Amino acid sequence: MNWNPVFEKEIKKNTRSVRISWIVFGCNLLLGAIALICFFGESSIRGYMTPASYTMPMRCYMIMAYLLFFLMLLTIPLVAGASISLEREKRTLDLLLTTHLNPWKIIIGKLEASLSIIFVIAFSAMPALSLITVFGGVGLLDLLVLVAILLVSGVFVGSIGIFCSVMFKRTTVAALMSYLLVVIFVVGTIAVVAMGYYLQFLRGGDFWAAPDTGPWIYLFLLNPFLTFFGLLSHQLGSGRELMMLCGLFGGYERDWLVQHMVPMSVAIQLLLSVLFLVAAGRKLNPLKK
Amino acid sequence: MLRIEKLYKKYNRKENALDGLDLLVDKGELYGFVGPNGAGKTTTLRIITGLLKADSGEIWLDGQRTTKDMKLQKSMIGYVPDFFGMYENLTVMEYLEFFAASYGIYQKAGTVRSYEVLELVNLRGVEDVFVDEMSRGMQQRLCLARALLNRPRLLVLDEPSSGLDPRTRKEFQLLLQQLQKEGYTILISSHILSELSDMCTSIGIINQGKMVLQGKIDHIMLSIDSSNPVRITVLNKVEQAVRLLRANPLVDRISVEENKIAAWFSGSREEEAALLRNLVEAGILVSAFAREQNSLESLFFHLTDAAKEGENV
Ligand SMILES: Nc1ncnc2c1ncn2[C@@H]1O[C@H](COP(=O)(O)OP(=O)(O)OP(=O)(O)O)[C@@H](O)[C@H]1O
Ligand SMILES: [Mg+2]
Repeated sequence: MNWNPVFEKEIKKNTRSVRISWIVFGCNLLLGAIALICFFGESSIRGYMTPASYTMPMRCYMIMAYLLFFLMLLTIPLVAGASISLEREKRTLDLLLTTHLNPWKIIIGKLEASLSIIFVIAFSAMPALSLITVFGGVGLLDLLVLVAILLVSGVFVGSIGIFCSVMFKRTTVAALMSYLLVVIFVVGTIAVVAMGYYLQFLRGGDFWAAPDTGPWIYLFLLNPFLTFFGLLSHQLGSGRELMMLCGLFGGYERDWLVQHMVPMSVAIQLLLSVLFLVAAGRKLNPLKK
Repeated sequence: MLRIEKLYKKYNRKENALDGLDLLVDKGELYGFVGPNGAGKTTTLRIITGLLKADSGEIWLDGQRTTKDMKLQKSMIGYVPDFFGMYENLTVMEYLEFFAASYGIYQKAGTVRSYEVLELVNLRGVEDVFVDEMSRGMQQRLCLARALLNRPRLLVLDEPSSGLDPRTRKEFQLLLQQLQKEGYTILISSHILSELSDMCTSIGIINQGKMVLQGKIDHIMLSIDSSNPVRITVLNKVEQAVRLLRANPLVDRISVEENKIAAWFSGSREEEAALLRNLVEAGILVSAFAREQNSLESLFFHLTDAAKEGENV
């Protein structure tokens, strides 16, 4: 099988790139620090031998998982946002477009390369994570599942980054706009729902009737963080945590979409990713304007 | 090999960047595409390579109408743009193998082809050098090598020698001539005519989006009539000299560039001599005074100037 040439080239470049090395190094530093804090913090409080400390590795794992997610939110918009615009700035984009690569292939190669960062960070974090695995409870397989879960959100965030990278000519602008869009999806959606809840609360009225944000809750479907939260809860909890969270904002017991929020949000975000990528591909094609 | 008819392209401004351009390159030719800055050379070449969409016009490549079939068109063309397009952190070999793969030549075949094109452009022993650390001359060769990867039938080069020193430039010209001998058809643009005139077999002069003259270089040289200017260099009183020349009924046009004057003078040898005497007697220090020999250069200036004047009226 032949790899996508763009992907292969990016990997070659990245392994030698100072920028990427620093990103990975920084992420590992952070992960290592958190692992150590978890490890010594917990064990010094409870003592090494107490049976209660068996929950400790799980808690550490959870913190690490969320940390990995946020590292992903920090790195992917930067890497994906720079992907096409850097080619444009280096004036290599025209060269790519004169070859047999169509815009679509270029974009997929770039997306794959951006996502590979997750693998690099997750697997280079193995030493830090192995601190946890010595206590049992979390194994290599769990880590693989975690990476798969990260990939779902990674595709969404990466597509946003690539879309911005095609739309904006300057790399800095493209990266900033990707961050902005990601913040809108991650924080903005929650903020809007919370705002709606708060407004209803202010209006008050019936004391016993709990405020209900109604269809606003569907904005949660667009939030990659909540998707990650929901998916991770399958691994660590009962898998119903996201639904319970929605329950705080109103009565959704009979709402099919809310009851199936995790798979639906995965589907919707993947669909949005495809739309972003198609839009990027069209914009990249010099003959379609 | 390449035939373009009535190509129009307008950017978002009022005037057309390409205004009904026609172009014809025969098989095996080294075609020089000349025009002043902003004439529309790059625009034309980008349309040929499929990087830009023309508003209207037709393109034939190797007998096939490729106006609508970009894929076919791209597969027949190797493009060396007016910039290098180098990646950081890639070696020459990796760079070429990457582009080979982009052309659908994978793995072993890509490596083999990469060595072949390096051989073609006389670049050897640099396989493991990082591309962004090479000299401009070598980068230019590498660009050419890259364009040769997919065995194009037409090689398109946009101002390939800008930024090269004269020696490297000459070497690059020789390289192109060598490729032409090996059967490649080459279309090369430049805003410097002299650079092309001694290596090209045909030439096309573009001005303001129109082809003002094109054909085999031998034919053009023959057809240049003796309406060449008298070139005069004066060391003082430039205005007075110009006034004197303008007053002469045999001078129909003058162009001045600092202290160099070109006068289109339709008199005999004696009248030429009389003109020189006039200048000298007026106290003007004339350091050079000669009828220009038939040259492509002057024709080029004449054509591109004349078109400009036509626009201004
Ligand atoms: N992307 C663009 N947007 C708007 N106008 C453009 C663009 N590219 C070129 N032009 C205009 O089109 C005209 C032709 O430009 P083009 O670059 O084809 O000229 P050129 O012959 O290659 O000149 P040069 O010798 O400077 O490279 C110029 O007037 C230029 O200003
Ligand atoms: Mg140009």
